[in-house]
Amino acid sequence: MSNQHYYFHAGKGGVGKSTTSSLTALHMARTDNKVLLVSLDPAHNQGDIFDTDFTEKPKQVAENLQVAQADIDKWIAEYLKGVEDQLKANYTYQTAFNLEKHLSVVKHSPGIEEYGLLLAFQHYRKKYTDVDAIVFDMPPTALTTKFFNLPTLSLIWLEHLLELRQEIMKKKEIITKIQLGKKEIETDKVTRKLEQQRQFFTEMRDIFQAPDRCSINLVVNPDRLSFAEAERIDHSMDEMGMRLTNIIMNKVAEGSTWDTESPLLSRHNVCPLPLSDYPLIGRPSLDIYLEQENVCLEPIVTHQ
Amino acid sequence: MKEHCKTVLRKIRNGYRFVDEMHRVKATERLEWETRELENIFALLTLGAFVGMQAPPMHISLELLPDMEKELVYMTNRVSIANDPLAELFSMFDAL
Repeated sequence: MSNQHYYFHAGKGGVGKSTTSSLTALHMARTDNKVLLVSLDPAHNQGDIFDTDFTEKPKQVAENLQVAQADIDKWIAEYLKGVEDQLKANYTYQTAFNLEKHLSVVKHSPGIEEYGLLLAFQHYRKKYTDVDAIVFDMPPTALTTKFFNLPTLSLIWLEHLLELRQEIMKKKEIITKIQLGKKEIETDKVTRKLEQQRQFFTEMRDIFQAPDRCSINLVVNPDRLSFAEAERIDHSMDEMGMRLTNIIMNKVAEGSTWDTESPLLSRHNVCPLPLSDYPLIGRPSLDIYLEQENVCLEPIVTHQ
Repeated sequence: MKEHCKTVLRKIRNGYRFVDEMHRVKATERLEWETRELENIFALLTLGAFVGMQAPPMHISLELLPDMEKELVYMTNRVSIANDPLAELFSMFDAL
């Protein structure tokens, strides 16, 4: 699994993240890579593009290509159910009962949606280890940025909490030693949970920051608004210690003009994709589109 | 005579134990208080959302929540104790 590569297609709403991710996945599948395309976007456009229904279980749509649609709400619900079950097992009836009303609103708390995305990401990469590449069709910018930022942010908190917890445990150890005259080694469940979380988020952060394991492709349209947002995404990625791999310039029509002075163009590879004359719906139209001479997806395919 | 000696020895031993225990408790009193306070800070940091305080990302709190019943009960108790004097103070203002 260490050779598995992850491709993320991010960008402003409506620029063509779903279309470009399906084209990328199909292109890689045609060049003998076993590919899984996963839609993490709640809009779930992959069903419309391939003209078929998808579920969370991957469905074969072409040779070497499977498509799945992650249900983030289901991931969140399952996660909260797990916490609730653990609470009921560990807590007294009264405390667990009092907490129930809090838990019912937790699913709407900030941060939970991106954690659901992270759980889905982890699920597909752990379960489908036989594929060479997983292409993720990401939600619009705000949520995607939060998703990439979550491991770093969580690690800041976890390091601090672990330090505090270790101080508490050290003091408790001294108290036991003085009072009982001997040292009793107690395994602290909270420390263990914090360490597990730290391990999980360190793994996630390392994947996101490793260009040989993960490629973040930013989809833009040749217009000013799209470029402006893309520049902001590029900047926030930099702050997170991540680097965009390619800029996919989608819907490039004849006579399209764009800001050639933009730092985006000087810092990254650009793959221009021409505007299609026909709707890109269904496998046959995607195949015809990919066979055009001016379709440039090459810089994206770096695996193997 | 032998019995008498044994009783005296037992009394001395018990006395020593009592003094030893007392000193041990005394010696750790402050440390225990410090630990309790640290635990309270930890609970506030991790489970603060449940009493209206700024908290870490929700998934960290949720992950720790099942193993922190003692801390949660302790914290909510402290919150209710801390709230009472304020409530009384404001009630007093109402009366004026």
